[in-house]
Amino acid sequence: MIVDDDESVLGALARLIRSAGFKVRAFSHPRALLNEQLPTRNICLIADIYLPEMRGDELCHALAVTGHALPTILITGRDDETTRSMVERSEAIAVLFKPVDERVLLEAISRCFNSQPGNSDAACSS
Amino acid sequence: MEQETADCIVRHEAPVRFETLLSEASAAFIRVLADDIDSEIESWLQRFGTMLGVHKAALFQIDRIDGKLKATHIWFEPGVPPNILATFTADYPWMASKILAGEMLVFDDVNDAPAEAAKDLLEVQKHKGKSGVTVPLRIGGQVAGAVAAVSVVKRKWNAETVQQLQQITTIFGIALERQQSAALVRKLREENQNVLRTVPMAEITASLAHELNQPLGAILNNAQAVRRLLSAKRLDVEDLKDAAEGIIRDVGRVGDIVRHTREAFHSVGNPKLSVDVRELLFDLERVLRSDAKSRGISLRVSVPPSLPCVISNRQGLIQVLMNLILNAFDAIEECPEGARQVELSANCTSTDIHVRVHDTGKGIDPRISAQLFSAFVTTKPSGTGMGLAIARSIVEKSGGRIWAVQKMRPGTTIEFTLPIEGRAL
Repeated sequence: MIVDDDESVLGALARLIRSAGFKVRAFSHPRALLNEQLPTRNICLIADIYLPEMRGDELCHALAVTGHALPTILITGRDDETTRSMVERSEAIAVLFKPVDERVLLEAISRCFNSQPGNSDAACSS
Repeated sequence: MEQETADCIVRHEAPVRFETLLSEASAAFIRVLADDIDSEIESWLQRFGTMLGVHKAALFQIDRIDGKLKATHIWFEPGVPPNILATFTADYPWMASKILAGEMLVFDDVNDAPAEAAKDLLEVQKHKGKSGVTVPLRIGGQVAGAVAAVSVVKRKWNAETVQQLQQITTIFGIALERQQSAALVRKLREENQNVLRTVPMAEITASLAHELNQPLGAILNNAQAVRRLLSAKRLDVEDLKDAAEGIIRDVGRVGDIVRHTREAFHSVGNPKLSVDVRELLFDLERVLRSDAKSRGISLRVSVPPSLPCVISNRQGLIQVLMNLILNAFDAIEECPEGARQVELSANCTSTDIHVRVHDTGKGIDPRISAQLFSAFVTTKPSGTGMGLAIARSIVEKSGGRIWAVQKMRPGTTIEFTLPIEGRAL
């Protein structure tokens, strides 16, 4: 699951992750993701921090409240103190700064899947 | 006995009155707002003129445009026919040349004037002047004008009266210096109302970084996706085409951001104009003088009496020089007092004006000397590393070059060139 309100970034991230062999669903608004019926296993969330209506870490929290605690990677193009102190408190597996290199991103994704009990094989790959 | 006392009073009355008036004037000029200095000078010309028993008094200043002496403040004793003192230099060429050379002129009888002063004499006589004293007026040590006191009768000027006129002139000079600094500070402030001064640098860079990181991230990820897809020989033509189009679109976005940023920083209203570098250096020296003094720094300007003009953006040049001078100030912070010197100098070749800012500080840190003019290179804990990068951009835009002079003497010398007007690219 990828959420980013910048269509270019969303498209490129989706293409990259798909090219690495994962199934991807892309959303430009956090509300759209919250309305989705989500699978319970083999899933991770990649969210931009600054999204419309809520931040990426808040989206992660909102999902957890509804019983969908997803391992999360937060991404942002804003590298400042406010952002850094905000993400320090979040429970994200990784916080990455744009531009994000594929090696770093894919490594973080594999950590997400490894964090899920019984899913060490990153079963999400297609 | 009584007679003696009276005599005493008579003898001391005049000096005491003058001293009182002088200290009143000093106090008045300290209190008066810079905008009201002109009217204050007019009123003191009258009071001093009356006190010295003269019939006309005038203050002349060198016009910054044509370098001629012109009357700026005039007083005539009531009943004395006023004459128009528009251009001193035109009407009194010999006297003007003497004043500009810093000489004082005292004539008990104007007919004593030398033969070279024939034109001056004619003009004086036309206006019924019979004797007079003219004292050069200095601003910041340089002759900037004169104060003249004229009598319509012959008069023996004693040393005391001449000295009093000099003291008055000094007070006027200090007041005018303050007036000029105030005007200059206002002018510089108005010229610097651009985005750089109004928005903190940190805000600009943070927002710019975010704006750029978005499309750069997308470009990188699309390119990496394409590489993976090609390596795996998964040739989904539509998908590859979409990726390429995404890259093209995002490079366009980066270009737009760069262009908009450039437009914001070099806003319209910054036309390239003819700039007198010599005048600009003195202007900056005047503005920064008190700052330098408070930091124990001796700030000097060393330029030839005249320099050709350059075509540049004046505001940009001010920014370049301000950056260089303030860097120099910072560099000598740790020097012992007495060894803190900053020198602004300029000279010209047949094609360019060379401007140098030299300080007696510890010199350029060898670790950064190679990238001195690159953005974000700094050794200051709170520096942005943008000062010299911006300076380079402005100088190069004016068709000049900027570099650090290889050590000829201790400290740091930054030199830049600007093409002389008419020779610009």
